Amino acid sequence: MTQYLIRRLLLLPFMLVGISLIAFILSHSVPADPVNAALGEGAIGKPDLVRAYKEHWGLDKSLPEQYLVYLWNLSHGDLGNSIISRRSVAEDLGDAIPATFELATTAILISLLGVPLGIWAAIRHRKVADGFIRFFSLVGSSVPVFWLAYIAIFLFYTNLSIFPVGDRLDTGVRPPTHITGFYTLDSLFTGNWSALGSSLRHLILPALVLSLTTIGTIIRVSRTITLDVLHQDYLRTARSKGLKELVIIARHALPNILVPVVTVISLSYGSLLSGTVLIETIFSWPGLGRYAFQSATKLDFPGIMGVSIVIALIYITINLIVDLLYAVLDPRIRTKAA
Amino acid sequence: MSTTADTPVKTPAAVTEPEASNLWRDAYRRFKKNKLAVGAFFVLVFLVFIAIFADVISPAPYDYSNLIDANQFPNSQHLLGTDSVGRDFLSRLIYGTRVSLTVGISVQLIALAIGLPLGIAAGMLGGWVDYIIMRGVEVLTSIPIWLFALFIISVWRSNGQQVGGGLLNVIVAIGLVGWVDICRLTRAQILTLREKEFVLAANAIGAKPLHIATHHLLPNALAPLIVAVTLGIPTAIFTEAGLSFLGFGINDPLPSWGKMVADSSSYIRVYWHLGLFPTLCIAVTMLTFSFVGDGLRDALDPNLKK
Repeated sequence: MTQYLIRRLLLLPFMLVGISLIAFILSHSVPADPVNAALGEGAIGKPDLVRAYKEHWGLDKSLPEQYLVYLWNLSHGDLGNSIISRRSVAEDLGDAIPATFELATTAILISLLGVPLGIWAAIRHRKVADGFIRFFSLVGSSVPVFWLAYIAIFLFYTNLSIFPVGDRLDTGVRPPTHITGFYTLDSLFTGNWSALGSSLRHLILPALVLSLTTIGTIIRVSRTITLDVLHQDYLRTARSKGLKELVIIARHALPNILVPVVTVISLSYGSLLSGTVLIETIFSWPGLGRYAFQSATKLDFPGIMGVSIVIALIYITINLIVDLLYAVLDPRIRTKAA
Repeated sequence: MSTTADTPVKTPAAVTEPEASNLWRDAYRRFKKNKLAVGAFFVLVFLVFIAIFADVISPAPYDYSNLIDANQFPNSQHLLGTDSVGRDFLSRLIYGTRVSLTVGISVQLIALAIGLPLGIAAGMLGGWVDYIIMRGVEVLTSIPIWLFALFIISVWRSNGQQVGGGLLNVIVAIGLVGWVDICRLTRAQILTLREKEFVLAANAIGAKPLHIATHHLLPNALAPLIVAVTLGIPTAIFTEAGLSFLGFGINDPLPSWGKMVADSSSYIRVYWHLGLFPTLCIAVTMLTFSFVGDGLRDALDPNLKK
């Protein structure tokens, strides 16, 4: 197991090189003047500025050399400046990452409800409850999330005005002191109640809609696995011993249900962290997804390179954690690997 | 006494000879029993029929707009109403079926064209070829398909390279990332099948690796590939809908369900049908392909054989 982990970790830099290379090649297939794009019209009369920029990014060198310069700067934590925001990409991402983590974490916490729902559906196999839960899970995974988002906005914002839409706080509310980057937690820790209320109200609607995209899969997997486990011999033994059904489910079935379910949840979490483009764009949530959308569609090359690298890093880390979780949760895998 | 002894001998002769069992016949028999999958299959045939004969079925051309008729609710003239520029909504939904299915199927064809040979190469040749291909697959897996597709489409857009109202761009952009699953699956299948006795036998009589790959390994890997392709189609359709929704997929006047939902957003208060109908189309298509794909998987999986 450790050997496997070390091998995976050693591959990480190579993967990052691969990802940045793809982004770099794509970026340079556009006939745009990078200096003009990055510095804006204002730099035309300032040759010193242009020369300094060109030198920093090696723009007077050949393309392969430019790529090496980019990698060199990257290894020093310099991702360049965003063309849109005119700030450093690292700073932009530093704001976007906690926003996305807060949204994705809340959404995945909500969709954890899918586990008991799935298990319940399996216990009530082919009964009314099973039918309802399966239907709900199907709707969740087949109805496009952007329409659900519109309906949610229409109901809770336009009609009922319960929840605001757009950004993470009401205008005029100052963000809480930075501790975790999660506005809800930070305002809770600092006792900033107005920020807490505001950030919660901004968070709930997008998180709720986002959770609908993952809850369907979680229900389906929990239900299938439970059905499978319920027919195992050792459960029949437990039943014939006269154990109560609740004890059977909780003590005997649950541990075996948990391993695949935890995997699905972690993978969904990974996909939420990297692929919330639609929801973040619709709700104007200033996270990675919206940043990726803006930099991709406005051809902000430093931005797109930075955001691809960060998202790939998150994705790879989550996958590593899933592999580790396997070993922790399932003793069979642990002994096999050792 | 002798008659009773005769009966068990006679019974097997009386039973009609069962048809020889093979994978496809067994699969067909199992698939037929799965009511949900069969039902979904008929819906799928219906969708394909609509897509092919869109010109004949739809009451109006998808781009014919008549501003006087704009924003109508469903009525006898326009069965599903009209959109904000007075185009018959039913016709646009019908042509939207064609666009969606074209995207879904073409993306899978591209995925097969890239993923199959690479998967075979990785599985058969092993060594550094396998190593390089699989690292490439890992790199592409870790970039979200959205980010890649959005970026590549906006690069094409700024270069003025838009083909077929953005249709070809969407297909190629999704297909360029979509092949990794096929590649991974093909490789895994080949690695498992390579250890089987019939491959050893083929090797022993001196068959060339390419011959073994195309004549012995691929036919046996076909079942899981069919399932993967069937289940890949709705994913591609969903991605197209999302891209078009964001305005980076299919361009007007070509109808895309995703874009139709996006266009409806400002009218959701009054003209609810403009968002609901394309949403239902997407949902039905998604479910249809998922049910058929799941049914195929259950039917083709020999492990479940009773």
